[in-house]
Amino acid sequence: MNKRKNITALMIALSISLCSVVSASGPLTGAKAFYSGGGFKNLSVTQNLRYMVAPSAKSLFSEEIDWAISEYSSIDDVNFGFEKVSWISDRPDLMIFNSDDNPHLGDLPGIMLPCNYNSNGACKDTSYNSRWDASVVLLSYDNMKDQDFSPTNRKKTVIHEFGHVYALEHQPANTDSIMVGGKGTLTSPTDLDVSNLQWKY
Amino acid sequence: MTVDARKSEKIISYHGQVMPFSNLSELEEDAPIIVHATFTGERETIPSNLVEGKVFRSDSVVEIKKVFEGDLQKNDNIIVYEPAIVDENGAYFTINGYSLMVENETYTLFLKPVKNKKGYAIAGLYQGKYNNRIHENGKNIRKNFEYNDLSEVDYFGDQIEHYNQLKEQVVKKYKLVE
Repeated sequence: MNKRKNITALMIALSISLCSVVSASGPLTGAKAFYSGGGFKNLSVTQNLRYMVAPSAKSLFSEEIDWAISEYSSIDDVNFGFEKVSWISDRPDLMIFNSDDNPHLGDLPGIMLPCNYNSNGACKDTSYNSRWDASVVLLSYDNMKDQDFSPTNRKKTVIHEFGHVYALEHQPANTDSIMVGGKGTLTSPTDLDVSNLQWKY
Repeated sequence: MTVDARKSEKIISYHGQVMPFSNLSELEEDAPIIVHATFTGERETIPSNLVEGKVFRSDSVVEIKKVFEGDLQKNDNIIVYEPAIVDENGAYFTINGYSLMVENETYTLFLKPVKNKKGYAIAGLYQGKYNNRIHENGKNIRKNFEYNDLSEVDYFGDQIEHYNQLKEQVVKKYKLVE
């Protein structure tokens, strides 16, 4: 474990996608920066993104979540907005949980899964390369702790997962972007991230 | 893509951030249990319940064949939590290219106990499971991949080179290829 802690600089994103794979070439821009065919069914929901934070995540990640909301809200020319809702029955566009009941996801600090609501109120998993009703962000405080995440690393993870909520794809390693996978210390969308978001939204 | 179109998508893969083990020693350090085990075919498929923050998984029973590390015994049956399922429509959902174990196949498994659970997690998600029969290393996914193809694939994410490097070391130390 100690050795693992010493190689954090070498962390890379382990990302896979059926239709798009991060290449070793330069930064992804425009459509290539996003999941192919993916994103909210109605892009206008991003102007007033209704989000719910589960109690377990609220107690552990409030600061990081508020930070991410503040950062995305302040991007010019995209009109991103947020509205907090309290109940699943409100069918939020974004749900945030601490991943404390997923025994198979040890070692994962964070993940975003898109889903579509059905008539029973469930939200069924769907592909990154499809249009979705909602995004679910799972953050694991325990896994971050095991991997010696600093508050900055946690902030980076949350703002990165929010990027996926907006359908941003992973960027190649060594790109100046919050969408590079791994531990990282960038806590604000970079010029590249901002221009990509402005392109789509 | 519409919901109907999604039905034709046979393999749906999600990606989470996983710390890659740079060599076998790191994998071993992260896994207090190292065994050869055979998947019995007994598997409970647990779909996601995303409004409660729960992600799909398969609870798969394996029979221990040989213990390298840990307090398990030969012939013990244990549950391994696998980060993939096949749903009722035959769609294959996976995280980071993890390929489900196949009945009667034997694997070298690097496992971690899970707090308050009776089963075991695979260390490093996909990095702690190696099929003993498949001599070739993982392949990249193809668009026309079908579920049945996956029985011949150890791993199908995009970190093939990294997986191959680990597998080479695992094969050498744990006599993976019999």
